[in-house]
Amino acid sequence: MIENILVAVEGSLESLMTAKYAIYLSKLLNSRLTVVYVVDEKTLKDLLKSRIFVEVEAMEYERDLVEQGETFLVRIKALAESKKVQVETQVLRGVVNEEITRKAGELQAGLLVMGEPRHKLSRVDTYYDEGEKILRGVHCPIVIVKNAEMIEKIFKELK
Amino acid sequence: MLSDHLKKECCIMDLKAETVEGAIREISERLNGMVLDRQTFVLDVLAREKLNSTGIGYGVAIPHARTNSVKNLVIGFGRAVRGIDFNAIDGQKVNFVFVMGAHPREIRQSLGVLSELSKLTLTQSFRDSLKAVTTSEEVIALFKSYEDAFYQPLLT
Repeated sequence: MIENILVAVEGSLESLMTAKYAIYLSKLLNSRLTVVYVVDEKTLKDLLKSRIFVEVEAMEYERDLVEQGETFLVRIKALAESKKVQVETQVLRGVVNEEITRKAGELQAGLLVMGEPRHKLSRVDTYYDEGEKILRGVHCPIVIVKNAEMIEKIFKELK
Repeated sequence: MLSDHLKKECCIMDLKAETVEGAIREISERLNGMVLDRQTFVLDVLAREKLNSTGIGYGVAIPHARTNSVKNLVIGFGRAVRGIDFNAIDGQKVNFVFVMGAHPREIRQSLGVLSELSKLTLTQSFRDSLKAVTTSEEVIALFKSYEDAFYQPLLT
């Protein structure tokens, strides 16, 4: 039995599909669902350090990321509750892959659900995609969600 | 990816401008059709530049703004052979100017593009190549080649 499922979202349409599939799995497996959105503080700090950003600008971006995350999580919570799935949501801050890996460990998640890493994977460590780092870092099985059309269909059919 | 946003029509190989404002205006003219209100766009980028120079060193400046004058993220590039005084962090003149504007809702996209631009322009071989190219097509090809070299498809 999988008691806890963790899903990581980032506020995009693709992420909404990822969340829907996690809701679907949670319903089928009767698992508790935790949805997290991570504010990417590392990128903000890097942009500050490289002087592309000024302090006030980084703060503005951070505020908007938090707001975007909270709004998105409210939407996902409503979706989960409409399918009578127990759900907790949380906005985290920090290095994206580290926060998701830490949360998976903290919850002793039996499954991590995540979207398809957006672009590509680097050969150079500093360019590694966050998704790739999560794949390497977490100790539980991972489901990578694809095929929006199929997910939309099964989510609609879920009672 | 950055090369998804940078179009050859938006690259100037020999900027005529000799000032920060002139460079931003000249590059912004190339963003016609992608910017809803060019005057507002320029003023928003200049307002950000006034907070602190975006001359990040190594001859690179990245003036940018979150602005309602664009629907989607836009980037223009200009190369100033003689260099422009951007009050850069290292005191050097700027030869490569990237002007970026993004709608305020495009938070992640603008962070991603600025982050990639920062990493690429910190790479010396990239800057050397950017100095050597002669056409807009070559600029685009250069970005693509570096992106291809740095990245490869996941889960092959």
